[in-house]
Amino acid sequence: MVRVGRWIVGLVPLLFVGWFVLWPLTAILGRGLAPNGSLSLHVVGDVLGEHRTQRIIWFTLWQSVVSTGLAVVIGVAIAYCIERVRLPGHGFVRTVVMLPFALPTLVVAAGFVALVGQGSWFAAPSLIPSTTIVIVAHVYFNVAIVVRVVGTRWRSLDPHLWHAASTLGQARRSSLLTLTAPLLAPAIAGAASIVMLFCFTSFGVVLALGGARQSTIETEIYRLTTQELALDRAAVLVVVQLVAVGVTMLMSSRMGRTRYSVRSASRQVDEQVVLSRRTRCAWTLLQWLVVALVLVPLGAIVSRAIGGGLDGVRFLNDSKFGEVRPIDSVWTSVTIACWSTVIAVTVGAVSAFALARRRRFSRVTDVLLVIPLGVSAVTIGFGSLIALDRPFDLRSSWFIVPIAQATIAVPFVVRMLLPTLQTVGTNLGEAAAVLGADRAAVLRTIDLPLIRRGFLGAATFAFAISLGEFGATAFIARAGEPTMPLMIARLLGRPGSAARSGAYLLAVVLLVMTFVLATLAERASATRRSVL
Amino acid sequence: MNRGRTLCCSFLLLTASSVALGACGSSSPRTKVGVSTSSPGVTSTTVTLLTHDAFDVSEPILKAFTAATGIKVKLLKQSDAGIMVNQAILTKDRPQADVMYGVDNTFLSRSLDEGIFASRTYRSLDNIETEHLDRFRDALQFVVPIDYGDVCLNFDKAWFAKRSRTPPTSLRDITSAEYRGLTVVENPATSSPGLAFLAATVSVHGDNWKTYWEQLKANDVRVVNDWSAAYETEFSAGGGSGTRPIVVSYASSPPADVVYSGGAKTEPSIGVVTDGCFRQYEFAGVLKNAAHADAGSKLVEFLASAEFQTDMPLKMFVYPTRRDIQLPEVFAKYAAVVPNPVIVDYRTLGTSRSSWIREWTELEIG
Repeated sequence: MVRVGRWIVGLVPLLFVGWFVLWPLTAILGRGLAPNGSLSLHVVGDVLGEHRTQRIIWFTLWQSVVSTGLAVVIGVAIAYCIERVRLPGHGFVRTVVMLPFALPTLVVAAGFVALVGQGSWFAAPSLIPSTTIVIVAHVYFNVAIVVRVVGTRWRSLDPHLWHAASTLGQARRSSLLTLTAPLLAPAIAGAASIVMLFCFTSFGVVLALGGARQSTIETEIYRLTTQELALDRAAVLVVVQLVAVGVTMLMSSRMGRTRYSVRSASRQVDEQVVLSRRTRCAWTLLQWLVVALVLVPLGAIVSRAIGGGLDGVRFLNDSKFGEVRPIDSVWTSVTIACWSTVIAVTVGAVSAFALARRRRFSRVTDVLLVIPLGVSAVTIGFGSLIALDRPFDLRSSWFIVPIAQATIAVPFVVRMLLPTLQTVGTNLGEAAAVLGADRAAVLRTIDLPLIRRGFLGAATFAFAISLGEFGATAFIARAGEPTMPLMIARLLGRPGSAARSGAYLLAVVLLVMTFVLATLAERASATRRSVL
Repeated sequence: MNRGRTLCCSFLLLTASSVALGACGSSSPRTKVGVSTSSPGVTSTTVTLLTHDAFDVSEPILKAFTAATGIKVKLLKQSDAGIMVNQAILTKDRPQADVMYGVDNTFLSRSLDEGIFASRTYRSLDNIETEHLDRFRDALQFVVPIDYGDVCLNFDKAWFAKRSRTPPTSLRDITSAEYRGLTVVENPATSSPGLAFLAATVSVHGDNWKTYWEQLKANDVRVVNDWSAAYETEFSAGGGSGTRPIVVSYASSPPADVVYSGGAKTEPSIGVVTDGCFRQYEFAGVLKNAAHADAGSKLVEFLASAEFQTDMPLKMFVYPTRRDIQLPEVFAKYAAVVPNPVIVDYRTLGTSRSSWIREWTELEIG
């Protein structure tokens, strides 16, 4: 009975990903590579042999590797600062760092342009467009992932381990290598793999800040699919992306393998690392420097919103696109985000439970869950048109939007919930079984409380992702009203100062909502709770 | 324990209430226009209209249509016309919608070749100006031309006035040293006005079009990926901190500038270069294999009707194809009149666009 139950639970993530991601993907790849029913692979050679394609693949690869490296280094440093050094204001920093992640790329790109574009304060005309600014923008967006994932893990580690190490004579520096690194390795590898996939398939940033000269695989797929309808050539590039997903996940699981499982701290110990005054000063400087760097482009957006004065507010309220006012997109976004979060957290939590106990199955499912992040949103969007009309026609349903957003959020939810479940290992469960608890009781008294700590953080993240999500939503035909990012894009696509300041005002609303969410999650997870 | 539970409960409550409010409020997730106040004896159908994000119509006009015919219009919106057309081609055996509006003349031949439109007779063709009909004779059994616009170079009047310089008046001007480093254009591979401008230059210069673009490149023209980037961030009158006073945009930008300034402007700050403007048309048609073909036909006729075409200019900033439509005052006053737009045959556009874009990319980007 229990085994059947476990199997059913394990099927949930597979069904979800299979129906909404894999089936559309297979459908569109089939159209591309086997248009008449038989596989014709000569196009693979044609496309990959072209110099232009090779250049595009190379550029995509190196910019994503560099972006990921930088994001991980900076993210781990910030996570250390927030979780271990614990200077005053660390909660605020944790919240602030998450803000860029929830904003749509076009808004942040506009903020960057306002800062360093031509005619602005720190005008550096050679910076936009350029590869440098693309990498900077990638780091800017994705550092939040590293800080969240690694930080959550770091917080849950038992500081007594380090005490024990120093009692046994190990200096703090070397304990970094022997203790901290292996313990954090799974979290770092998990975060790095997601950042890598995001940077690999980055679209909005490259388009807005890279200029016409820089093409990545994603922008090329976009052009081939949406302009030329050259599905065969696009299919080849999608396969390249899939290979990249596979390789990334393989490497991350290699790097993230722990040699021993360590139990979590018995309670969340907010213990500060003891540091010299000078080091503490240095960390304080770094912390507030990071906050300043994150806030400055956001400040540019806010100043543009305010600069428009009341015109923007009036425009949002009074003008009508069809039967919708721009301000109504706030409600639309919130509704869709609520649904998307419910789906993402449910599927994510169930997946986390299913994956926690079984290693081999978990690796495969992990790769499958991450595919929406690593494969072109354009392709999946187009694929869902040919695949999702049977057995029910979901294509004209507004529900497709929250589902599409949930497919992006599910890997995050799993990554945030899984480490907590895994590190406990089976010891607690077995102990409970020995003491007479059945599976349901173990679930109720051990697994659920464990997950609860990460639950709110995961839900907030999923909500923030859904609010700012642009890619997956932009490529499906929508039956409902536009979400905030889409409305912002529409407003920026019109001439006129009122429309523009309206767009920036909506962006500020997005910012404020994300800030409030993140602060709420902060407060909620600050409770100390006993696991055992 | 308690705080977590309270938060979970309030979260669920928030979800439930926003769904309830969302379903009840005017911003309902379903865009179903029209209450069933149809005239007695008329059965109520819902027709799905596939269109792009720029589609806009005044609510009362659409409601009047529903009241008169009993046809409710459900909107299915795609962010961009190119994506929309290609998705329609992909799903032509089982279309998502009944009617598609927004396919433009650069995509028309592809959509006709793929056979996505149903063959029907549209009575409203009789009310459309003959000059528009003549350009698309072979297509008229499938689609109706609904509106047109011109893609032209725009310039910042204030920028030139401040420096006491004359603005450009032709395509040739922007290649001269006097206008070096002042122009921004969009990438034709990713932008519809960009492609329109490229097509215009090819048509005007014939075989020497590459020389023209080489001269532009030598004259420090800036290429960006889409209209927003060009207008908002590079164009000096775009409200951002742009430094370039010449941009590829629309002939209807001046009235849009006035209308979207929220009352702050009474004179447009944007001028239009009327030489080398590309004439863009948009079409509507019933999709083949549509579930509600007859009702869809009525919707297409509505899009070509006097009510819709009078409402259209201020909503979508395009010109009506129907004859005898009174243009709104701000249009008549500020929109630039283009005496000789560049008309490129839609079949040529269909066959050559890929090679033009490819050659342009090699030339400008390398």
